[in-house]
Amino acid sequence: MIEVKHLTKTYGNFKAAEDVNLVAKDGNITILLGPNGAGKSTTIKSIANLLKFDGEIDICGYPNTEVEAKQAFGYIPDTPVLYDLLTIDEHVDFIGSAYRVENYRESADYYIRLFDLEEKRKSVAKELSKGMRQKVSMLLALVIQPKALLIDEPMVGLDPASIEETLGLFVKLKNEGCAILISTHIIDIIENVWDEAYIMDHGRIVKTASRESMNGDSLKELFFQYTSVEVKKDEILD
Amino acid sequence: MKSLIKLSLLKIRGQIRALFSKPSSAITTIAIVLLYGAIVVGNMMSGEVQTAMGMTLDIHIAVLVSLGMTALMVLMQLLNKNKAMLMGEDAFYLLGGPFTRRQVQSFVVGYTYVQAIYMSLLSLFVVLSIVGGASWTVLLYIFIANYLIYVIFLALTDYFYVLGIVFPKRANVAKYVAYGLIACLFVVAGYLVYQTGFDMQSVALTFAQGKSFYFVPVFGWAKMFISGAVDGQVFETILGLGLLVGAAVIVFILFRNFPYDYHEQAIEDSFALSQKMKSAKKGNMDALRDTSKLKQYNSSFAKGAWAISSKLILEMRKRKTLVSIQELITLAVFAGMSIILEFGIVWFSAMLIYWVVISAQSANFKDEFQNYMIYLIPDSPAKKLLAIIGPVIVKTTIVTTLAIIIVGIAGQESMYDIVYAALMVFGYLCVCISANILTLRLFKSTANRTFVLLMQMLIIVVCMIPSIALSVWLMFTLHIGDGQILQLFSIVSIVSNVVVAGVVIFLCRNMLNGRELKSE
Repeated sequence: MIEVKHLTKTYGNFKAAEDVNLVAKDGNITILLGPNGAGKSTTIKSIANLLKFDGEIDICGYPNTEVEAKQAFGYIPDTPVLYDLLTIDEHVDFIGSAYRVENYRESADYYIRLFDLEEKRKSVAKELSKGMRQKVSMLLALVIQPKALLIDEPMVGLDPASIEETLGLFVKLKNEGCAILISTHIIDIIENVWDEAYIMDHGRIVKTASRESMNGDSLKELFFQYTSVEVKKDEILD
Repeated sequence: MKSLIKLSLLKIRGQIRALFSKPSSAITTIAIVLLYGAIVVGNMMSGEVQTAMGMTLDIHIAVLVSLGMTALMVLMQLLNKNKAMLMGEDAFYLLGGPFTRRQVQSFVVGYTYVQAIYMSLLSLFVVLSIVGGASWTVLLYIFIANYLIYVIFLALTDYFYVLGIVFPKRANVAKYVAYGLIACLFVVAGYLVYQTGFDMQSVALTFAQGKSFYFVPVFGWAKMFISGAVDGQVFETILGLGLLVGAAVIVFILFRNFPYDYHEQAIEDSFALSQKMKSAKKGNMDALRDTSKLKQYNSSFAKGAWAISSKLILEMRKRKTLVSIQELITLAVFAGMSIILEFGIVWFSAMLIYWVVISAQSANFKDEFQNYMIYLIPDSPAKKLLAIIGPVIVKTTIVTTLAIIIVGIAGQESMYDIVYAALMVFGYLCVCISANILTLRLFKSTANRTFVLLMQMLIIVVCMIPSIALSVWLMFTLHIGDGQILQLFSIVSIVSNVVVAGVVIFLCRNMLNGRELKSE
């Protein structure tokens, strides 16, 4: 479980995230929705302990600064950051050893097959396409067998088939009890898989929803209702 | 064509605006301008002496060095595998815009003519740093010669590039031209060696002052022009200049009138190169590396934070920087001078410290701190920090200690002196590495790269002050004799520098908790 209590992150006078409270429960896919600049990435990076913040964040019952918390969660950033000269296999060995994961090779082989990376496993990261780099980034987050998964804009660079496979994988992980928190602004893609949703705008959570509470409304309608984003249909038609 | 010229002017305006957009960048720009100004003024004050002297040996050597540097740049251009005619944005607007092929090619040549000015000024700077000062006319001749060389080869590289796209079988022509130039140089050198009866000193003198070098295409013509102009030899001046200008005109016509379509590949290459250059500017030293022939190594990773050390060692092996040829050559030169010229182990240790300072500055820890994975590794931040600096410290210690042992044994130094020297160098190594880390801690990942490098040097010097000051103070207070200086400096440096390094590392111990470096 990921628990965020009163998270506030400021850059000078600008509040990128203000009094954010959210819970991503075990066995649930929780969505953090919001327009560009709403504070989603700031929230995700704060949870991953990559930013200084005010407030309290716990992952699987441990403060996110603790080694136990780091051991428990996987993080997939919006832009993959890999080591140019290491192959996919070497990346896996590096992360598996650094996290002291037992038998990481078995799960790595499974994900390498799933992501269709078998032919490229001896290729260095520099030679991989954008989509493949994104897949390797996911592979590395999953190889540590996380209890919680933080994902920032997960589908960037993936083709439609890979998006479907990835969504299927998230559902599988959720069913195995993993707490998944996804930050995105592409609502259509996650429409069928989400359980809980937090809508952010201007650094604040403006609406919380669960699939059961929707009463037939779509997440997209809720999003436009509670955020400052307007679709100027007339202008588009003109 | 008007719009292309307007685009160029807008770009120059943008570049100037960018230079003065931040205080640090503006200060660096002004400092560089002042430095150049000081060199020019210094030259005005001291250079006129040279006017009446003609081509002295000093000027011959300076001209050859400047031509050598230009040749190096040209060869690098010709042999470079990362080629593109334009940078990404230019390629997109020019090759995709409403311009004729001839207009685009003229623009590209015009752009290389501007580039050639900057590069030739660099050659002048080299000449001035060697001879101290030269008359304005000599400098002008050197500038013109180097400028024409760049004009010829930059345009020629572009021509070979488009030629290679259209006719893949001719993709290696640039490489063959480079090899041809090198071969010409060897032929001339070989001829001189044979002619002087293998007297290497005479070979060097004849090569610098004689006319055999004129037979090396382009570079020889440049030397002929400069020597002729300085010595008042009209025929040589006109012939040298004529050949250079003629070659430049031929290359211009060849490239400007290139009739085939190469746009698709040129746009693709331009974007790829732009991306690599941007990445390299940010400090990614592997961005421009050719990974197609990278050797595979059997790798095993230590557990926890120490996996970072394993990864760094693997990367060093792949980059072939575990012990690089460049490092070995530098150390061999120092060791050779120390042994042959009998400078002794103290001098050699001082050179090693100098080398360690320079190496520490180029040790690229910043890359490591920019990858989020390091912060997420579930281990203590201090251990992760040690895992990052460990391989560089161990590697450099092994290399310097081995070098000291070899020089010590060759120079028949005592065992104590060898140990003292090794300890002294180790002390300075620790302080340099910790200063490097402190710079990253203070200026974080967002600061201007040049500014950070300057600050890094300053912090290294500041961190070394306690050790040097204490050593000098003790030397005078305790009235140490010559034979004990190494001992004193060694003990003080190991104690003082290791303490300073320890304090710095202790203060930076939390850098890898994830919040400190990337937070603001």
